[in-house]
Amino acid sequence: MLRAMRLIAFRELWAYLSAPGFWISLASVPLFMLLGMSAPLLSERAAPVRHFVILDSDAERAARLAERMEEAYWREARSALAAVVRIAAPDKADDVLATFDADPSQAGLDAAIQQVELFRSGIARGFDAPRRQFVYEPAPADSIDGLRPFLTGDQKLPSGADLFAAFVIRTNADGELSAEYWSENIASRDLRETMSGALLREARANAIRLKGLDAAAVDDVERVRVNITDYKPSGTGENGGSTVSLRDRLPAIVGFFLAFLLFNAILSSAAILMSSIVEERGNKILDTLLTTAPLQSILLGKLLGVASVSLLMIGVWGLLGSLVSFGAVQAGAIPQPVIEAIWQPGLFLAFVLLFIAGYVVFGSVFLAIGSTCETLQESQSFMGFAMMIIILPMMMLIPALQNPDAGYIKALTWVPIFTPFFLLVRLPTELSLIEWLGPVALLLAFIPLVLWLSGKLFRAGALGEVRASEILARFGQKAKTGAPLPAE
Amino acid sequence: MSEKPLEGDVLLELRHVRKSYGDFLAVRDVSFRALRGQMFGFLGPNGAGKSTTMRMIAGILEPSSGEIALFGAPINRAALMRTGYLPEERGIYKAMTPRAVIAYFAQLKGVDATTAHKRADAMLERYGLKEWGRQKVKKLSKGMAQKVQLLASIAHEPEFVIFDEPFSGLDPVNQQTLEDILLDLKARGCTILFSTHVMEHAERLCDHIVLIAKGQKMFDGDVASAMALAPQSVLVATEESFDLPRFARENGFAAERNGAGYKIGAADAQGTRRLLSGLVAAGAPLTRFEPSRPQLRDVFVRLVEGQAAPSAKGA
Repeated sequence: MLRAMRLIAFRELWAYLSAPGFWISLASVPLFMLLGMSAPLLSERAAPVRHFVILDSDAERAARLAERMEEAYWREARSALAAVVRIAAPDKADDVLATFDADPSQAGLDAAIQQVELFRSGIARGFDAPRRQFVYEPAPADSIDGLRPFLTGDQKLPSGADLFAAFVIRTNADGELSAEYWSENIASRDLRETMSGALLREARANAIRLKGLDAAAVDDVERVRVNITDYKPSGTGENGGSTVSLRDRLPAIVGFFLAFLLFNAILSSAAILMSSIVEERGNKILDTLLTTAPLQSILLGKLLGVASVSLLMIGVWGLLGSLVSFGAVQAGAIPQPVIEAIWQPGLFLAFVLLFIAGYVVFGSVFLAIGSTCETLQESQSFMGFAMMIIILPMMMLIPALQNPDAGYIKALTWVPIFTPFFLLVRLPTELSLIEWLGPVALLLAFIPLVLWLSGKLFRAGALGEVRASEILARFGQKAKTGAPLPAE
Repeated sequence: MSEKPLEGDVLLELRHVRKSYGDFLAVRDVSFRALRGQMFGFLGPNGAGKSTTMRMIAGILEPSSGEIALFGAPINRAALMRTGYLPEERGIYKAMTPRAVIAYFAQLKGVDATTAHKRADAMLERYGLKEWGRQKVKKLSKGMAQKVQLLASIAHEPEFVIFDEPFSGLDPVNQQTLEDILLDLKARGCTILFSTHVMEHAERLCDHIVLIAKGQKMFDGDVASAMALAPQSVLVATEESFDLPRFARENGFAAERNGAGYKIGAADAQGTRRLLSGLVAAGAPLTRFEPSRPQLRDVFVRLVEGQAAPSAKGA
């Protein structure tokens, strides 16, 4: 039995290794990841720079608005810096940001980065402020009519740039601000939205001034920030706890990623298993196999073979990821602490075990269903329903990541077919013993039951006692192909 | 089964085997024996239950009732490892090479990898597929792929083979190759059970035939016994002065025009003798009296259409 199982598993593995589709799948994930990672960077670099002018009878106000637009840019730069520094040097993040906050400008940013460089952090050392999207230009004319040739692109600005938009700022008799936005491009709203924020600040400052308060004092008040630091009470650091950084949250993200990987692996394995068994069922190779090996050997051999395909893929991706990470650390592109935060041996071990459990459960069901089908069309009718069952946990994964203790997420973790997905996301959240051991025990108890039921259906399907075409016909679906007569 | 041990030369025995699918009875009460080394023809019209019976013998299906003994014991894994099976529907792994397919199935039947590959090479050479051995099966013609499938079913050198309609879909050249394969197997002492619609193959190759129709056995015996059941006819011609149709009518023979003479049904050898003596006694100026050679096809048609079960041997 073991010999037959090994031979069948090896044949399945070899069949997929020799198919171009396998290599395409193998290459596609790293390629798409690379594309996904570089997309924001490419998008930022591809975004055009918008040059704008402000027409305002109050020159001081126009200058203030331009200044507020500048502030908006540096707020964006601060967010980017904070995201990087909190990963690269979480212990010094507050100091670095305080340095920047003291002087939110290029000089302040340089000073802040200089501070991080002392810690030799790769990302921070290579940090660049976001590309400036909006550039204020002195207006080359004092009316819209005068600006029109610039706005339509017939004339360049004195700086040589194209004028993207002009804001005309007015004040009514009651001192209320209003603005006109002039641009040939009505689709892009980013500049308009940013100026809207600057105008709101100016309007509020104006309103405060009208009430007799000092505008400069108002500006100072507006710049006041409150930092909230997260602590974990179970830690032993300051205040009887330890601070929480993105590094603490990374394992949960890794868990989410692994759950997603599990979903992908099961999805692709299911398709492989189904098509494989349908081919063998359809052309009676299964009949020949049944005379050469016990049914259990065929079932387990196929499961093992396709699992090897998936594990091989995951292994190659893992190895590739490790090599890239190692190279990135060596090159200083990724700080060591980030890798340490991602590399969770316990979580990866759990992934392997949950992958095997999840794969056996879903794989055996798909194999059993496939054994009743004689054509791929028939199998697809069942795949639709089966896919809905797999997609359900996928839809819940992000809520599970955001709120792993929600009642329904906890409940779904106990459903054996969903356990592998939700447990991976919830494991890094320090579950109690019963919360992880309970669902795992239930899952382990569920596996023999599923294998037994699948074995029964597989046998009935393989022997032609249960036919998908008949089941579909009962559900009112027209079977795509006629079933042969039972006798011959 | 164990209470009635099989005789030493009986390789396969079916006793009152039935197979039903719900209300549909595919095989009803079929019993027969195949002896070691026999070439055994399993005949019957479409839907007769041949494939179902063969799948039961191959251990793929279980009988609803009755018993099947193979190598002297109820069907078991060890017996199946000594058996080769070719299903009616043709199909092999299209992405594999013929050499790999043959070796794979041989290995599944317990042959070690080295021997399996050596046998695959030898078989491909022996049956004219050497240059195709390392091409993908999908590049092969239908007939060649069929041949590969057949070779895969016998690469483990089984003592018993079950071929379901092995000749169907083959051109005359490949049919001849298949006959060669069957004769090679027989020469090696292998017992062969095959179903076919082509009566000439059964007539030429089989030692023994079983005919079933509507799931029921209609005939079980050797080819000569089957031939004896063939309705005999005689081609008779006389000079024009003799009224042959009238003579036939008055003496209880059926006559139908056949070229220049008449084809007169004589039922059997005795009838033929009675016809000849009658004609001589009536002074018929005979120009032709030619008993026709019996055909297995005629037996097949007669038994299937009659649905009576005259048996040369008790089932």
